[in-house]
Amino acid sequence: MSIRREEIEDALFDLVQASTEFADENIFFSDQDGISPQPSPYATISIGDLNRVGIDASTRDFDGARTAGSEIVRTTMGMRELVCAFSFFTPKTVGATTAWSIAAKLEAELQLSSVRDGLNAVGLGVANVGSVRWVPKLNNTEFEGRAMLEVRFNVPQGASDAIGYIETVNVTPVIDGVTLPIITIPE
Amino acid sequence: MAAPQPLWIFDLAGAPKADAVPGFVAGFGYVGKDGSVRAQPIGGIVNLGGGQYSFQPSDADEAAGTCAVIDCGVGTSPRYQYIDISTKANQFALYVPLDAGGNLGAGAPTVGSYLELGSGAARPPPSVDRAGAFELYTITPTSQDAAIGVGLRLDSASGNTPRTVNASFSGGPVSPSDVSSGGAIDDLCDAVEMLESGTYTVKRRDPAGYVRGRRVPSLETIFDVDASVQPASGLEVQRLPEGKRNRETMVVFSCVELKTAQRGLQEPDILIIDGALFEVESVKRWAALGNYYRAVVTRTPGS
Repeated sequence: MSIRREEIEDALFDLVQASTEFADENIFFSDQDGISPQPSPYATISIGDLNRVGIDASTRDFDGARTAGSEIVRTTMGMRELVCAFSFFTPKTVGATTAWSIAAKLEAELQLSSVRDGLNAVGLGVANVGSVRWVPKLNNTEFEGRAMLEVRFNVPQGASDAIGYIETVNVTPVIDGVTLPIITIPE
Repeated sequence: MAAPQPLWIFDLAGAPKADAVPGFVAGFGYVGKDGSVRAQPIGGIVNLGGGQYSFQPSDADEAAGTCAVIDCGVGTSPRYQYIDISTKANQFALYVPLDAGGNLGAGAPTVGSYLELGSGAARPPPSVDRAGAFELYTITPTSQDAAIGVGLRLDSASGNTPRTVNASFSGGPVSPSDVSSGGAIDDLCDAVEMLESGTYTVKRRDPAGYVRGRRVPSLETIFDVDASVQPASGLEVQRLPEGKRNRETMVVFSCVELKTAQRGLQEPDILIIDGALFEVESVKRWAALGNYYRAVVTRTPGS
């Protein structure tokens, strides 16, 4: 099972949309070219580092019914830690509709099994939910509410390959001009 | 006090409809020209009887320039009506796209013609601006145009109705700067034309859209402008953000406004100069004091 980035993006988008109830165009993935799409409120999703956890396991699978050369399949499988950051921007810095409140809501909802089910469906397991960080910023000369939440997910990653095998061996009985005796191996 | 806005509502047979229940469209029924949502008029839309209705904008609505889009309800024709709320000093035209069925649609109109009311002479057309992310479009004349008096024809996007919409601007105040000592309105367009270095293609882009968080390219409108393109001075280059100072930089004088990036509203215009793409960094609007624009453009990487 290899990581499919697009499925992960969709799952994270759905997660943020369900929690914030923002319109489609107010949620987007960070680090894309172009001007900011909206005045706040809006949310950005940053999919960051992918770290290996422990050592990958390796298995071999033999099936003689497969086509010649692909009877033996070697598979490696391991766990990765995916670091995602959710940022929320709001025009207000106080009250119930601040970025802080939105991030806090998502932080709590990540404990719900109904929320985790959607993530699990694409292989994402919530490993660690970070702190809600309140980092209001200056937008020109006005304060804009901003809060960040970093979440670490476990996600399985694997790869497989047909490793092939030795089918025939050709032996030359002459080495350095000396003819070696031929030994017949009994069947 | 701001003038009350009258509204006539007719049924499908064209007779005045006295029992309509009009209301401002949800979401963008009462917004500023910039797309900011404004407080709806106190008292709402009042039924005056005989098919006539009215609402009372505030002075602030009038001063800011406000777009009102009204749903007159099922069984009325037209079902949607729109009104621009402004004064002679900040007049503008509002356009709301309606589809073939007369329902709220999408798509910016284009300026079909823009002529002086008296002489019929063509004037440089103003831009069609979108009110925020809403499907509302405004056309704002320059103060000179409003003072002279101009007629505007807007052509709807394909599939929208009606095919054309007309508006006019007149009676705008004339500021001292609009009038030279000889009494004629200053227009340095002629000077720009004398110094023009060629005709250049401009790509005007709507703000990029996002589909499930992923950016999708925006629609482009392509048109030509006559302009005087000159190398920028070292000081102009120094004023650019640090990461852009090593780009080839030009100054463009034109009679048509070029547009720079505006958050949520506008991607910067792209100007094609000698086959290379240049992005508009900044624009100085000398519309009121000479009817020309001065833009600084930088060459995009890789072009």
